[in-house]
Parts: sequence; C-alpha cells; structure tokens
Amino acid sequence: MLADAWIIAAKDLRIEWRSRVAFNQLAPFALVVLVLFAFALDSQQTVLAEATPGLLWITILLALVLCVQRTFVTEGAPGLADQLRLSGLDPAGIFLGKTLGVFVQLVALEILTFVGAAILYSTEFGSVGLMICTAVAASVGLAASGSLYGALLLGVRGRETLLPLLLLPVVAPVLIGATSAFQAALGTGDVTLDQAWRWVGLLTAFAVAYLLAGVFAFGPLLEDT
Amino acid sequence: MDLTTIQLAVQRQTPSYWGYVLTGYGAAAVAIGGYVAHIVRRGRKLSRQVPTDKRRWL
Amino acid sequence: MTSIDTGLAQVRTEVEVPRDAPVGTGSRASRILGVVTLVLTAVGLAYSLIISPPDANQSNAGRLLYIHVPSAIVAYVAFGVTALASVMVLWRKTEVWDLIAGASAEIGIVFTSLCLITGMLWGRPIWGVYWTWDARLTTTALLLVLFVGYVALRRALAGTANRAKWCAIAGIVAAIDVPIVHESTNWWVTLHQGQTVRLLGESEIGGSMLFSLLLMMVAGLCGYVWLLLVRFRVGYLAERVDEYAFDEAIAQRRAEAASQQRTAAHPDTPAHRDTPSDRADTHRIATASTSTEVD
Repeated sequence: MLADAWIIAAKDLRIEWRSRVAFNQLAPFALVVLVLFAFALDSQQTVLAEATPGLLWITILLALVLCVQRTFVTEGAPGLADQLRLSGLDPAGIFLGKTLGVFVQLVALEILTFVGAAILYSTEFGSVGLMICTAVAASVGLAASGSLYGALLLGVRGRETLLPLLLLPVVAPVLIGATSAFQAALGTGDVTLDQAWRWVGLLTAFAVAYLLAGVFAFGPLLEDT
Repeated sequence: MDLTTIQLAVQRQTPSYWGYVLTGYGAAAVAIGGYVAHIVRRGRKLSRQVPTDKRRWL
Repeated sequence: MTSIDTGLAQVRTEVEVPRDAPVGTGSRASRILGVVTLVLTAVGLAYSLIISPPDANQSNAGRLLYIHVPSAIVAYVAFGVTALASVMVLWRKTEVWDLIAGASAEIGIVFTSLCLITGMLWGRPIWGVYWTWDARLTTTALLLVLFVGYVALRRALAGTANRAKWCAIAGIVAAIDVPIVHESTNWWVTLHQGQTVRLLGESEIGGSMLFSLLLMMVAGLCGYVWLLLVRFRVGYLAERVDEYAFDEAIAQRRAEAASQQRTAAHPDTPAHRDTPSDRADTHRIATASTSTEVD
C-alpha cells in the first residue's frame, strides 16, 4: 500500500514540477486573495492584523479547492480511472498517494501565503512550533478530505461547482481549529497556548478520521459494479 | 409587590409578538404543505407511467 | 399468429387488472399514518397556539419553539437515517436503502430549513438579532449545507450506474463530519461567548406548555415517517419508470424488427396487424389508472 502511494505521489508531483501549474497559478491566486482581503477590509492595519489567522486559512481553503480540481483533472480523462483500477495498484495506496501529493502542494502554498501575510499584513509570528504543528495537522486533514471528494466527483457533470459545495462545509472544523490555534500563535485574539494545542488535537483527529475514511472508501469508489 | 403583580407588569409591557408567531407557523404550513403536495403529485404522475404490477416495493 | 410479439400482446390483454391497483403513493398503511399525523398536528396546534399560555418572559414568541424544537429533532433523525441507510447501501447493496437515504435527505432539508427559520423568527424578538453564532445554530446551519450538497450530488449522478454507491460514500463522509463540527463549534463558542444560550432562559417549562411540546414532537415524528414512506415510493416509482421506459424501448425495437421481417417474408400482409392489440393493451392500463381510487 505505501509503495503504491509513493508511486502515485511521485507521479503527481513530477507532473506538477514539469507543468508548474501550482507555481504559476495557485501561488499568485493565493497572493491575490490576500490582496483582495486588504481591499475588502479597507487596509486598516488593526483589522487586518486581528483577522490575519482567519484570512490566511480561508485563502488556503480556496486554494485547496483549486488544487484538488487540478490533481484530479488528469484522472478524469476518459479511461484513465479504469487504467488506475486495472493497474493493480492498491486503491488505498492510490488514495494516500493523491493525499500526499495534495499535502505537499498545500504546504508549499502555505509557506508562501504566510510569508505574504507577514509582508502585507505586517504580522508578527510568535510561536513558530505551534504554527508548524497546526499547519501540518490541518493540511493532512484538508488533503485527505479533498482527495476523497475529488475522487468521488470524477466524471460527474457539474463537478466544478459541486466540489466547493461538498468540500468546504466538511472542512469548516479545520478552519475553526486552525484559525484559533493561529490566533494563539500570532498573539491576536484571546486564545491561550494550551487551548491552541487542544485545537491541534482536534485537527489531528479530523486528519485521522478522513485518512481512514479515504483508505476504506477508495476501494468501493474505484471499483465498477 | 408580590410575584403576581410583577408578572402581570412584565406581561403588560412585553409585546405579544403574534406577528412573528404567525409568520413562523405560516412558513411551516407552506413549507410542509408545499412539499407534501409536490411529492404526492409527482407520485401520481410517475405511477401512471408504470404498469400496475411494478408500482410498489412490497 | 404465433409470432412472438402477437403472443405477448394476447397474454397482456387477458390479464385482469386487480381492483385495488394503486395510482400514486397511497396505501392503507400510509393513509392511517397520515390521518394519525393530521389529528396529532391539529390537536398539537390547538395546544400550541391557543391552550398553552404565553410564556412569562418570552410572551407568545415562545410558541415558535413548539415548531422549532420538533423540527430540529426531525432534522437530526432524518440525518441519522440518511447516514445509517448509506452504511446499509454499502453493506447490503440493495436499491431500497439508497432510496431511503435519498428520501430522508430531502425531508431533512425541509425540516432543517424550517428549524432555522423558526429559530430566526424566535431570536429576533427575544435576543434582538436574527442570528447568533452559538454551537447549536451553527451546527444546524452546517447540517443544512451538508444535506443540500448530498441532494445536489444525487441529482448530478441521476441515471448513472454507480449512483447508490457514490452517494452512500458521500453520505458517510458527511456524517463523520457532524460530530467533529459539533465539538469544534462547542469549543469555539465557549472560547468566546460562554455556554450555548438556553432556549427557555429563566422559565421552567411545565404543564400545558410541556404537553404542547411533546404533542408537536410526536406529530413531527409521525409526519416524518409518513413523508419518508411517500417519498420512498416516489423514488421507487422513478426508478421503475426509467427501467420500464428502457424495457419498452427494447420491446418496441424488437417488434419493429420482427414486423419488418414479416413484411419481407409476406409482402402482401399488412404490416401493422398487431397494432389493435397493442392499443387495447395501453387502453386497459389507462382505464386502470383512472378508475382506481385516488389517495
């Protein structure tokens, strides 16, 4: 299972590296969203500074939707899903591989977005360890649930609008958790550090739940009755 | 002042809010009634297109 | 006249249509349940609107809770049924469970929306605002969005072979989310605001108010079961219509092919000999539809 996961993840990341879609399009998209927030909130430094955790994670959620669409667009090509199934790769491994691919792209985007926020919103980063743990836990959960829904909607008409409708409500707890933890890390809001670590616990639980769900659901998903 | 007087005083000063109540009950009637009408009508329309022996699960 | 299609037509016209062949979704069971629900609702309304007194603190706005609380209960029951039915679809792989899941989700949308609307209409006079971000309201709002997404997926997948399986997976994945959402919104709220606002505030509920609430709850649950039954039958009929239209198309095509062969073999025979019996057959089905009782 893990070897198969590695094959899929390597394939996706290699495609990404060669075409640089994430680099050329998703990264600028994330930065544009940050700028739009500044416009929307009237560029008042106090408001932006307080809202930074939330704005950061909303940006990441929006980028997640695009990232998942992109990751599964190659698989949506007719016949490719069948090829995947017949290739003998373990479905759970395919899921983990897809998740790993999305996770890596998300983390890269997050680093970029956080740096962007540091510059645009003049944020000061406090507890970096907390931030890293939060980002990792959140990203695993986002990648897992994203891959699950991305595969679910393969070949469904209207999937461009269905994916956000299905995925974003499901990852709302990740938004709440990551935002609260970041509030503690950045010193905005009134979340204390131990509360923040409880939130990281919740994010981990979410990640585990959706990793398990994906591992079990991918088999039935890919097989044709 | 005893409790009854206070309660009466509160009741006199609190508006009756019947507007909200009737809007709510009306919305419930419309939503549920509308949905019932919709599915019953749809059921009849569909069952006419199916031969009689295939219309029910049990 | 031993060709296949004419033989079939003869058999069909000889079958007697049973007297109580149902049109629509009524049946003895559903009618009894429907009457019970209506009676309970009528008595419940009488109690809610007239017999029970206005609340000491909330005045008549409290009457909205007689709809708000039961519809919340029905909404969560509907959600539970959809989740359970989704698991059963993957386990038993029968069409029945898929139809139950879909029916329950639609009904869930109706009652969740109703719960939120009555909640807002109650909140405005009592709290002064239409909405507040407490854990219960937020979870219910998210429940509505999850339901809507699920039904949207069902519609998008309509007619595809694997719909039941994929919707079941989507249903289970959404169901996993609800406890996580509930927990996280609880923590989130206690961080910022303190406990969830109690619906009844300082008042104690008792007497006719409690009875009204219980009546409406029972009426709501009976109504849910009735709606589930009817909506299930509608879903079942929809599946049969698709199947039947498909079978009809195939039978028709075969009839055409056979009659073409016959015209080729006997060029003088009129090609449409079997048409009168087909007409008699559809006529019999049509009279059956119009003559049976309507629910």
